[in-house]
Amino acid sequence: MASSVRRFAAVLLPFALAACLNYADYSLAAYTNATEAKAQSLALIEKATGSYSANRDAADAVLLKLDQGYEFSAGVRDNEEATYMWDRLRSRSGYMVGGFVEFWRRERPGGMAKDSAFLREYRDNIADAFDRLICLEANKGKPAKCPVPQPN
Amino acid sequence: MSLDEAVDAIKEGLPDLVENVAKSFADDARADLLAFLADAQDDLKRYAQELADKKLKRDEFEFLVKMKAEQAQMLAVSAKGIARARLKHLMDGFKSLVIKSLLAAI
Repeated sequence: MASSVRRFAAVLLPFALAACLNYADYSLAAYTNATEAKAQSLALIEKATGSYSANRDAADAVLLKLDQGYEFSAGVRDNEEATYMWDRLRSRSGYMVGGFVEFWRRERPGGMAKDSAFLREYRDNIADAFDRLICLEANKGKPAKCPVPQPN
Repeated sequence: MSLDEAVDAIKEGLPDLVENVAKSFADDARADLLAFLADAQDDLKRYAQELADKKLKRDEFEFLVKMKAEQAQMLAVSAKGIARARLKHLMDGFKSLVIKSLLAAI
């Protein structure tokens, strides 16, 4: 009898554990938010050779997209990691997209040189940062290898 | 199939499940972290050279260095999230294995 009870308990264990191991489900909307924000952010970087004032609307649109991505992510339960990443990407006081827009606005309002080493390096780094978020979203659906960072 | 046989079937299915879900994550995460470290080292050396060559201004150099630190933090958080997702997959696979084996015992 005791043996049967132990076996029954063992069978129930994964269900009890699973209840403690909740994590956000895969969401096509979350994945699309990340891929679209990446494409829009990379397109904005190309515009940074022009003046900030001439591209203010484009910059605001990308920042809004990042805020939307953050709000969507924050509204999903057990999704702290993706939400943190969205927050870093959008933060005006950080060094990702929000921080880049602030740098452009405050420090290079006239725009940056077309052959700017900074823009080239920044573009590679921001693409990698978005790839991390995209990989996390993909892994919620099924295990997937993250892209190894590309050599510059 | 008896209950004992069902439990044995669960035990037999576990190594494949763990291998496919958990070990693959450990291998992927290790490779990913090492690749990031190697790339970051190369990047920081290149930034320093570009600063010395005046291809980067001082504030641009500092921005990129701080950005690299933020990237490392994002990588760590992403790895934690992927670990949680893989653990969930592992438990989902375990549940399916248990249900399939028990149904076979009925």
